[in-house]
Amino acid sequence: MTAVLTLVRLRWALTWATLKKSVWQTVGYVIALVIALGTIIGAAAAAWGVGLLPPFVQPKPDIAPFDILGPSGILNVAVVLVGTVLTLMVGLVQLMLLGEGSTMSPRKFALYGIPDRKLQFGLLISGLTGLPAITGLLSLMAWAFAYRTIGACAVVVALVAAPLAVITMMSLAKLLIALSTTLITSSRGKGVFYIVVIVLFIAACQVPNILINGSGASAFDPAAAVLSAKVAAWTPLGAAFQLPFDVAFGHVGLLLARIGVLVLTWVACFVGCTWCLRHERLTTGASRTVKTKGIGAFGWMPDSVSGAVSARLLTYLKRDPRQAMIFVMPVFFVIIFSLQSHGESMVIWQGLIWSGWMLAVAESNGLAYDGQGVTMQVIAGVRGWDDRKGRVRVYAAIAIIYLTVLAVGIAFATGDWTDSNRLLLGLMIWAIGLAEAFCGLGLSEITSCVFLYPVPAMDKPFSSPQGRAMAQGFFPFIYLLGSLLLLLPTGIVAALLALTGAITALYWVLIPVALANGVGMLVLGTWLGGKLLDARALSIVDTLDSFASLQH
Amino acid sequence: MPQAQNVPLPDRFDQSQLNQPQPEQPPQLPPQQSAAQPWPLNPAAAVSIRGLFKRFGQKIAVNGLALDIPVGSFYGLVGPNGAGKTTTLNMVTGLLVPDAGNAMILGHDVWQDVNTVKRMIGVMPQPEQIFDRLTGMQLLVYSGMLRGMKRDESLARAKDLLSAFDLAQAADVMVSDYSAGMTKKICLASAMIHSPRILVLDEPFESVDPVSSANLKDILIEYAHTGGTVIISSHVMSLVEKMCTHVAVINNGMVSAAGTVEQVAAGEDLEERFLQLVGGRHAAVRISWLDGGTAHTPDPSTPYAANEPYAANEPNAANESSRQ
Repeated sequence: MTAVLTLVRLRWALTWATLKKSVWQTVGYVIALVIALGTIIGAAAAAWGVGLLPPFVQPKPDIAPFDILGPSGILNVAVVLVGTVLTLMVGLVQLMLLGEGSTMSPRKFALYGIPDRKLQFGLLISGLTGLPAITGLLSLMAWAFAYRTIGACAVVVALVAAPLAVITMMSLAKLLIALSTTLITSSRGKGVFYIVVIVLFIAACQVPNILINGSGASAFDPAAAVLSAKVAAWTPLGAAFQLPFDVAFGHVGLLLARIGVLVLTWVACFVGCTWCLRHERLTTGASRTVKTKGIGAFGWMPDSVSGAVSARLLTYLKRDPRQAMIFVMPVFFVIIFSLQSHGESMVIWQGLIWSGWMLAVAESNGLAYDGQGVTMQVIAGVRGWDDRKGRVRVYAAIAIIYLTVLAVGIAFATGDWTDSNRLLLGLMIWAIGLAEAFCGLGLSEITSCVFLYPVPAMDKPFSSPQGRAMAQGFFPFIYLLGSLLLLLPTGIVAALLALTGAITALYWVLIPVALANGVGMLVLGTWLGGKLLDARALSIVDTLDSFASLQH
Repeated sequence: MPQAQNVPLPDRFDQSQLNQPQPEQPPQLPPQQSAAQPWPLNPAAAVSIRGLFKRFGQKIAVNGLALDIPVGSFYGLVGPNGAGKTTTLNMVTGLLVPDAGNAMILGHDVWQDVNTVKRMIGVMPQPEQIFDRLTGMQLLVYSGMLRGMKRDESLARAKDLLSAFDLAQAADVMVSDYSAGMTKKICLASAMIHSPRILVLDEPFESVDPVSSANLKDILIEYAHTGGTVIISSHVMSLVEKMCTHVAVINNGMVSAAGTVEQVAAGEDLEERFLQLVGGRHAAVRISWLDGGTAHTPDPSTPYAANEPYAANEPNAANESSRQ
């Protein structure tokens, strides 16, 4: 027990130490506290409101009343489904934001010879004493008062179920992290895993949107929801949220069985995490090495300094999960928009503009993604113009090929290729998307020399370097807003066409205008970025060195 | 701001001495410690430094350092940790802007056209300063092309270097999968691919195995014999004594002694001489509880964590600890 308490004390000692060291961390923590308080108050307010609901609601006399509070009623189904998604999201968020970069990573205790079970238990308990766990616990306890109309027993059981739910969330999250760090040893495996988790997360966030907008609210099937809730209530994800309803409707046997499911989950997670600890200790350094034949892009890129920069960048983009993620997004956008299109093909086409806008978001902080490797270029005395040209070559080529392939795909998938008017309209959106990508890229060549912010290490894409949240929250906006502003010339021409009423006949004019606008901004950004890089190369290297120290 | 430009040269610090080993003479004194005549930069030297000064906050890292490194020499910069060796090398190679002072490489002012100077020299990057997701072969080709070499020539030289450094088998393996020694070797190879006239190496043999180290030394000695200048910083005095023709002892950001190895050693063992020059060595300290025994060892069944001193299990242990 001493070791466990020591780990809990260590967790808070580290938190206080970080707060003392950095004003930004203190500000961040205060904001986190306000959010936590807001969450608890929000849960309490929601509970108060739900507690006022009547057992049945009949919106119109000619339809059957809706069961709100009864067994498999709306409240029951909603709570279990929301709780299930919440538990899943907690796991994914933990994996994305904290992951193996967390201060309390088991690896850091390897030297002390603490038995695996004690260490794992200590880490679990210390996790449960953290601000997120306490917030979750208090919010769920506040939520218990939503059940006051279905019985006092339900309230009492909900109060008991709150810690059970939090322990389950924490156990599952820890198992997910342990498995991801232990079993995925190769760099490529980690990269693929990272992309899958992020896509899953975004998809999970989009589920409600797609359900509502996808095929109309009439397609919502209550029976399917009830069935889903019933199934979820028997999984570790939703079991804790069903407990108050079990006791309210007199299903004590089911209550005990579900508690059994939860306990089994904790044990399984604990055993799994302990196994991972042991496995990792016994197999440290046994990662597979992958061989690559030839010199890849170095063999066919232009035979020049900027060609070397291009080849290096392209090779890295293929091996860097943090940046490769960005290239999954355009396809993802198109799929999401097509699910919400209601048969209107222009909704899908507009995905190209979003894709163009996001394509260079990583490049807007590109030097930070390259990290200390940039020093190699500085040592070799590479001119800023050569570097910028090399980078732009790769990104511009990706933007052109990617958006064109997507445009052709959309044209065929929607059938717009058969209608010349719609095809021209699509072509205009493609041109605007490409122009937006070029404007963003041009701006990126400037922002990546001036507004750098720390990023996770390539080895640990899930980790969160200290001081990241504050700066990262602000700097990407410079890119996102700035790249839109750079498209202003096209916007002005479009506005003029609209004001003169010529837009319906002459909208195709926007195609050359947008492309010229994009190319112009790209050239300007590349030139200015080169000048900035020449002037700031040494301070950039210095900044990247300081970022590297945050990643360890 | 210190008056560090063109530090006056002491009468006895004759530039010609640097190129002519004179074992019988005592080591040269640091020029900035004696104010007499101004001492101009020497364009004939491989590297000429005058009054180099750098401050980080309150800490003066390099304090008016002056030095000439002859062409074709194998020059060792030695000094204790924090003496200013790496800072000096960074300023000389254009990787750090000095607060004051001048540096010249083969007659070119470093800070007037820094990129030209950088292409003339070969600086060995530290392992964390390379793109380690490239394969060894890709890294070398990249390094060559960055210096303006053609692809085919870079590729041919990369193959030669990989063979010379015993890395041919690992040519297609990502550098991140290399061992520490292999990584050092590929870093050195990347600094040599453009056949620079001056090689600057910061702790080149650290974590390199003896066999690879011997091969590396042979390559570097051969390179120096062909007229190249090698500048290394190192803590390993025996290595400097064995390989270097010249040495400068740096302490507190200044040159304590410089000249040929024989001049600096002044008839003594170089390591002993180094310790005399930098000082700081004291009598052995005995810590009462560090007895190699079991008297104060904590019970292994009661593990403790980093923030819990094991004195908690041994209430009197802290009191017993004392310097004797």
